[in-house]
Amino acid sequence: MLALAAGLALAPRQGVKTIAVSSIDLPRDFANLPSPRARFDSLIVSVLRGEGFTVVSAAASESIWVHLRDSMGGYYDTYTGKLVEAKWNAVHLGTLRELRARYGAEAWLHPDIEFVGAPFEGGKVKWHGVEQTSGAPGGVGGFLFGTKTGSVPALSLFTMVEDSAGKELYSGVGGIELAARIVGDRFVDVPRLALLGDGGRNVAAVHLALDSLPARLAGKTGP
Amino acid sequence: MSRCRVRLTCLAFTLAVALAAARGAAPIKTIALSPTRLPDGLDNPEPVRDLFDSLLAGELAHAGVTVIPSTEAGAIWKRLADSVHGFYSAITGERVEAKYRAVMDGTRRELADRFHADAWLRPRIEVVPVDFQDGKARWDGASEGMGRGSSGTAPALSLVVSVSDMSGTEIYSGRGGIRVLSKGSKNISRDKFFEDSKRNLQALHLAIDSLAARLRVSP
Repeated sequence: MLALAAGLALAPRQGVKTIAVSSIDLPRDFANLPSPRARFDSLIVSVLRGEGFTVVSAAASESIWVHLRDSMGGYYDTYTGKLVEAKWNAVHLGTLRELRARYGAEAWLHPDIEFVGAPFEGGKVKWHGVEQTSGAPGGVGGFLFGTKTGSVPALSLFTMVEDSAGKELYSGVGGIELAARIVGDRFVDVPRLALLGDGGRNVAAVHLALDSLPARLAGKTGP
Repeated sequence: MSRCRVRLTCLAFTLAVALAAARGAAPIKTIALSPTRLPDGLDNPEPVRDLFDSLLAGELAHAGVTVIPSTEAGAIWKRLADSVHGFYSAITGERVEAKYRAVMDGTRRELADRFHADAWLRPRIEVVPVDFQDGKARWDGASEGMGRGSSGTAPALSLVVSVSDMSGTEIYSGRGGIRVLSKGSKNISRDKFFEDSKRNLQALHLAIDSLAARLRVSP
């Protein structure tokens, strides 16, 4: 079995072989924290390599993006502050083209972490492939005091992969952890600095969001 | 911040303004009006802007002050914004404070120098989230029926005015609710947002009546 697994991992990939990655997009509360970004960026690269992809670093895609953005003087309207979609699209497609031309990247992966509402019933919360206890009474407690239902704030990792023409090839999601717990009748936020630090949960979320990627990209060779 | 605290803050601000007036702040004889800023996505914004500009100008003139029409402040603003090529960053989309300040201060100076304005009124219409319960939405002094016994949150329009003196200090702010934009699953069509002239006028009075009263008692 082990030999078969090793053989599969080393077998030449069919379809998309080289994939560029973006640095993870974090919710505003976390945007300036370097640790969660570094942690997830490195986990994603390592899972992709483990799945047999050649990975083009986030630094490479960012450098191309910044160069193209600056060369057209930015993509926001200086009078309204609003995005000029035509300019943004030009930077986006130009980056995809450059990633392919310079690094042979046939696809580009964009990961982001978002707050979501995770449905709970009693003490258990299940969302995006994971499970966690809510803090609300469940089991015998739920039987005695009444079962609560609703949705509780949680964090999930979303991934999207596009081909070099900007067409979506894949999207995946994995639940990370609850951002609030139920105490009595109310939600109590988990301190922001205590979130995204559980190595086991982070790894599980990255696998959930990426594990079906190789199968989905197997037959895709890009435009 | 809770709604109650917001109201208390507004009340405290109004009292502070009234107190300043009572202590002999310079009377307002000439007020410059900016064009009403509107929310994005209106199909035909110009008639709406004209409507609120003219309602405001009429009400202020009725209170006995000379009104510099919004076209003047609008033209100065545009010229100064053009001179700095807009005050948002093309790279981030964020406002560049130094450029914005230059346009604000320049407009204010010009309104004072050329038109002898004592104050500058800037109106805008905002989309605000409104909580409703027992079938009634109440916000910014207005109220509207939402359907028997219903509760929740809905978007609504409010007229917001802010008046500064010619040193840039805010001397008045007022708000008036216009209308709710969706009831249950029914969204009000954009071309009907401002069709109820009674509600428009009521919002105007809610937003500026205490300013107009102050202007009337000024010597």
